[in-house]
This record gives sequence, C-alpha cells and structure tokens, in this order.
Amino acid sequence: MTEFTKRDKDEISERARRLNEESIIVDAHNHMMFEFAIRKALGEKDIFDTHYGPSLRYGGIDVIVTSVGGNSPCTCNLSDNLEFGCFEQIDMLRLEEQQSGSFRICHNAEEIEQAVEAGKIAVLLAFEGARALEGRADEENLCMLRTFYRLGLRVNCICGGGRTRFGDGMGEARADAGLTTFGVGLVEEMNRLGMLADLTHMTERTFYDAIEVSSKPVLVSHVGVKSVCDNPANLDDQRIRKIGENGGVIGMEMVKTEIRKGAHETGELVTFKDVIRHIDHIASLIGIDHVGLGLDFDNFELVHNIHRAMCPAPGSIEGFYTGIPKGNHMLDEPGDLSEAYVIADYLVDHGFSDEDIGKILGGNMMRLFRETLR
Amino acid sequence: MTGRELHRSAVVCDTHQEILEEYVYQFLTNEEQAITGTRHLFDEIYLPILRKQGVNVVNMAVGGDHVVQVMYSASEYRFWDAHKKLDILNSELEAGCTSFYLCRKKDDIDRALGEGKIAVLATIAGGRVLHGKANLNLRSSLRSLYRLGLRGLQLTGNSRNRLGDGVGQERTMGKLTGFGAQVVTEADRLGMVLDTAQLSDPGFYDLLSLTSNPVIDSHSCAAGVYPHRRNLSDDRIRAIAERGGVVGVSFRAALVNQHKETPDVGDLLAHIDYIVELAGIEHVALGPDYSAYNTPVDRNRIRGFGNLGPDFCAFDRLTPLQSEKYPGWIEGVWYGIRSCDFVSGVEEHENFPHITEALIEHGYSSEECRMILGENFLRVYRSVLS
Repeated sequence: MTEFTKRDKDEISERARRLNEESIIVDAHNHMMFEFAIRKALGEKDIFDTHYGPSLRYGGIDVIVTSVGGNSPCTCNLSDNLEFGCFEQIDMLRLEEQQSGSFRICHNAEEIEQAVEAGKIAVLLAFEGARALEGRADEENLCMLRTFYRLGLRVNCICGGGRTRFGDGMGEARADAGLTTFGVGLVEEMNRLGMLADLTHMTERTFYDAIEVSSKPVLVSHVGVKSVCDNPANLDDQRIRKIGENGGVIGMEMVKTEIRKGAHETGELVTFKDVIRHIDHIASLIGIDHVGLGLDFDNFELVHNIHRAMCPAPGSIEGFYTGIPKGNHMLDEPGDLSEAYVIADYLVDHGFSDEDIGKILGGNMMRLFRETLR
Repeated sequence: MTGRELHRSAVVCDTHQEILEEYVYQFLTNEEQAITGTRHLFDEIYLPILRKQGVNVVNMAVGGDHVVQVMYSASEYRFWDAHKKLDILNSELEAGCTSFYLCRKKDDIDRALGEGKIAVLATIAGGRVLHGKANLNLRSSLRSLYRLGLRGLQLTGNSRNRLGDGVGQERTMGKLTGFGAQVVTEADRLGMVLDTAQLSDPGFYDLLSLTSNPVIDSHSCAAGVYPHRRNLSDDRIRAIAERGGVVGVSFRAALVNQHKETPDVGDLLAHIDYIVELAGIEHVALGPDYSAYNTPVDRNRIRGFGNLGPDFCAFDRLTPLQSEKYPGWIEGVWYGIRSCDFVSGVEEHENFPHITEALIEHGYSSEECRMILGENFLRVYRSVLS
C-alpha cells in the first residue's frame, strides 16, 4: 500500500479550486436521511445545520438528491409501514427547511438555480425503491405516486434489491421478469408529471423495459462500470450505450466494491482516481455528456448495524449480495461529503478540460433536471 | 346406479372452495359461544351447505391474493387473515365440534371418510398470505401456517406476488422468484400439495423443475376448449398428468365459455372430455370454485351484512366487495359480468350433485365417475401428505 495523505481544501490545485467555485456540483444520490431520522428520534435539534450543511459546504456540493424513502424500513424511518415512514421523513425535512434556512427543497431546475444563487443547498427528494408507491395490494392505482409528487418527490429509483409490483431489482434476477403493466403505467405517469426515473438496481429485462417505455431521459444515479469492476450492480456496455441513446446520465458511485474489485478484501486504497477509469470508459462509449456524480455516502458508523439487522443474511439486500467490507466501505478519497472538493482535483490531474469537468461535477445532471423535472 | 345414488356413495371432493364468508362472519359475531362450544357454527352454517353439495372432502382456501379473501379483515394483511381463519377452524374443533376434521396427515382423510365426517384440507389461493415484513421474505410464514393445519399452497393469484407472477402478468411472464423457489422446496419438505392454478406459464414450468411431487391445478379449464387467459394449454395439462397430478375443472362460466351468458353442463362436460382425452381419466377432478359471493343466493344475502361494525371493519368496507370497484375483473383478468358466475345447472353448492348425473348420462361409467369425483384428487394428497 502506498503512503497516502489527505489534502485539505486549500491544498488542491488552483484550477480545481476555481472549478469547484464556478460549477454547480450535484450529488445525485445522497443518504442523509438514514442518520437524520435517527438523530431526530434521539432528540437532536438543528440536525442539518450541525451535521450536513457544514460538510456539504466544505465539500463544495450545491445540490443533493436525497432519499426520503425506499423499499425497506431502514430507508423509511425504520417503519414497517413504508408509506408512513416516507411521509414522516418528508415532514421532518420540510420542518427542518423552515427552521434552518440553509437549504431549500426544490422541485425543478429553475428552483435549484435560484437556491444555489441565494447561497443555499438545493435538495431534491427521492426514493430508492418504489415499494411505498404500490398502494392497495389488489389495485393498480397511481394515487400514491401523485400524492408523493405533490409532497415534493422528484426522483424515483423504481427498484431496490428485490421485487416490487412495478418491476424486479437485481436480487430477483431468477424470475426473469421485466416491468409489469403497473410499472409501465408508473413510468408513463412519472414522465407526464415531471418526475425523473432512476433505473439503478434493475434486472436486465426491467431496465430495458423501463428505458424503452420512458419518453424522457433517465438517471442511473449511483453505479459503476462492469468492464472496469466486475460487480453485479454495475452497468455493462450494452446498458451504457442504451443510456447514451436515451440521453440519460450515469452518476458515479463511491462504494469500494463497485469501483475496484477485491479492494475491500485486500484493504488497497481506492480513490477517485479509480472512479476516473469508469468515467473514461463511459465517455469512450457514449461521450462525456452522460457522466455525473451519485456519491451514495451514508454514515458508516451509524448505518452499518442497521443494514445488518435488516438483512436475512449480513451483507445482502433482498437477495442481492453486496458483501461486508472490512472497515469503511466507501472510497478512501473522497471519504465523505466534506472531501468532495478533491474530485475536481483528480479530474484536473487526469487532463479533462474545464468544460468537461463542469459537466461531470454537475452540468450534465442539471441538463437532465431541466429536461425532466416540472 | 343412478347419478344421485352414485353421488351419495362415492367419495366426493371439491378441489377448490373459498371459506364461506358467512361462516367467518357468524364466528366473529358469536365468538364466545363458538370458543366455549355452546354453539358449533360449522354445524349451523357450513355443514348443511356441504351436505347438500354432497361432498366428503373440501380443499378450502383460508386466504389468498384476491381482496374477497380478506373481506372481513378490512386489512391488506393477508398473513394475519389466514391465521384468523385457521384459528376459526381450530377453535371449533377444540370446542368439541365433531362434524369435520382439519386434515393434517393422510390418515386423517381416511379417518374422516370412515367416520362420515367432512375432511377439510386447508389451502391458500395465493402467496401474498406468506408476505411478512416489507423487505424480508422468510419461510417462517409458511411453517407457521403449516403448524396450524395448512396443507395446500397455490402460489399466486392472477397478479404478482413475492413468489411469482400470475396469468394476469402477461407482460412480464416471470418465473418464480428466489423466495418462490425457496417456498416450493420448503413445502415439499413439509409435505404440502402445490397448486399451480392462476400461475403464469413460465412460473408453472419453473415450479415443475423444482419439485418432483405431483401437483394440482385446483380450478381451471382447458384452453383447447375455450381460450380464456386463466385456462390451461394442452402442454400444461399433459405436464400435470405426467407428474401424476390432477386438474380440478372449474365451474366458472367465464372459464367454461365466456361467449355465452349462461354456459350449461354440456359446455362443462366438453372441458372434462377434452382433458380426459388429452391426459387420461386419472387426471381430472372437480374444482367448482364456489365462494360466498359468487352464488346468486349468497350474493343477495351478503349485501345485508357487509359490515361487522366498527370493532371489526373500517367504514370503507361497508360495501360488500372491493372488487365491485372493478366489476367483472379479477386482478387484471376479465371474467365478465353476468347474472350468474357459474355454469347453469350446477351454479351453487345445492345443485352440484347434478354433475354426477350428467357424467353418467354422458356415458362415463360409475368407476370413471368415482375417479373424477374424488379418487384422483385424493391420490395426490395421499402421496404428498405425511
């Protein structure tokens, strides 16, 4: 293992610092609510301003797409009643917004730009897994989708690890089923409403069905490239090409197992330099206009035990084995949101142009938001 | 021997009947008397109907995927609902009701037949009953229900659940899920009969690759006679037969012939003949699919007591059926709206015995009738139950 010293914010290159200043930096997959909800339950106050605001600011991140719900209780305020947990999390974040003033829940690109202009963090509400939108078991009714849209949901990652009534996540590959008719209706209604479809975690058939059905560009918010790192969650070349044709954007993941194979076992350092191999591969197939960031930082210390408690087998999420990393499962650099400023430096070092760096940091995601959100 | 005499003397099995909602209703409203044995509600409500039907063995769904199965729960929680219905049957037995057995072993069936009691086989009409925590699929739900007497398992209704896709999921045509495959293996280990009714074709063939036991299709007809989405292809019928399984022919008008307002017994016999011809007489049984709401008599009666009151039932279930919001549909499959949902002449429990007369008149021998009426079905249960 090579010696490795972290750089502080003023130790990165001049050019990278300028690019961080000039760009709207978007993290398309954020998990602050995991921990936020726990802190809330423990009675903490000013949670955003104490924990997340400062680290997002220090890291230079302007926009986060944050999960306020998903397929499992651990993403729904630990409630088995998923819908209710989602309502609670949206409510607590909206109360926090009034009280904090340092972030703004946004619904479209224009609002994001205004928030960033006003010096606030822009927050988009998202789901990771659409199980909370299933509604009554016997009906295929999209009232929950429209309800959550009205409450501010703008990004919907349709699948998690397992099965929903809309489609199957990668843990359910055995069934070899694609998007259901209910799932087709969901995507069409999302297109109509102006809600962005996130196709992360989908099985082969579900992915191609969803991207065919969607009349709008799609997001794959937090993922790596299979030919660079052979992880079942990662995108193969065929899927990447399809995203290119669709005009979608791929957010780069910061989880070690999806970036460098085996590194979580050997303890090798994994940094954004490894992520750039993924970016280069995507750019060589479909161009740089389809790459962004979906950092996926959770809070390892607090959240890891929840993951273990939730799962039938430790290290797997609904049939999909993600592995139990030794130590921290996130990249060594950036190791959390507050270190996100190094990303620009790695991109500068690799020789990307200013324009391309701006696109990767957030320009492409902003373009996607403009084309889809209402 | 006349048809009537034959029906009385033969072992008659109904391979698919949903537990009567009136029975559930009466139990819940007279629970104290039922659990202390001052009244046996099975004897008051169920037994007379089953005696008129002339059946000795009933494969009785105590839950399932469709909303009618959770009618009196006012709950989406089917796992709980199935426990409740099994509790009703067990409570009645514990309180001294002697007119039926809830059969747990194959010997129980013979014991019931020997003693002139009704042999009840508990099953579920769809695996949503096994859903537990939202993101966690555990086989413990199957074992729990098994311990309470569940011995049959129909994997899906028409739509999707976490075990697999039903015939209504035409777009996905999914096989069984990982959980579905685990459940099949566990059901085999426990000794439960797998029921492939309503399961998608890919799910059906997948299931056959996972088990070596005979399987049943408890209530379907032949697509070769009438091509309803719920009906079975020739290949699927042959596959069930090759396994030593049985097809319980459904009496639902929509499956028998949806084009006719009231298909008659002749139309029903066409399905029986076809399956006999294709697969052999050993693989045919009768699964009329009578349930509380589908017979004209019950439908009128039930309108009167759709609500158990605030202790049991939310007010949004005041109307009898959630499915009345989608008249004629069952989870994505069209059955149509007709004055009677069943084949005329055998449209309810009371005139079910006509089927035996019709079989005799149609030229089936007494021996063949006995096979269709019950022996074929019992063969499967005897080979699978411990």
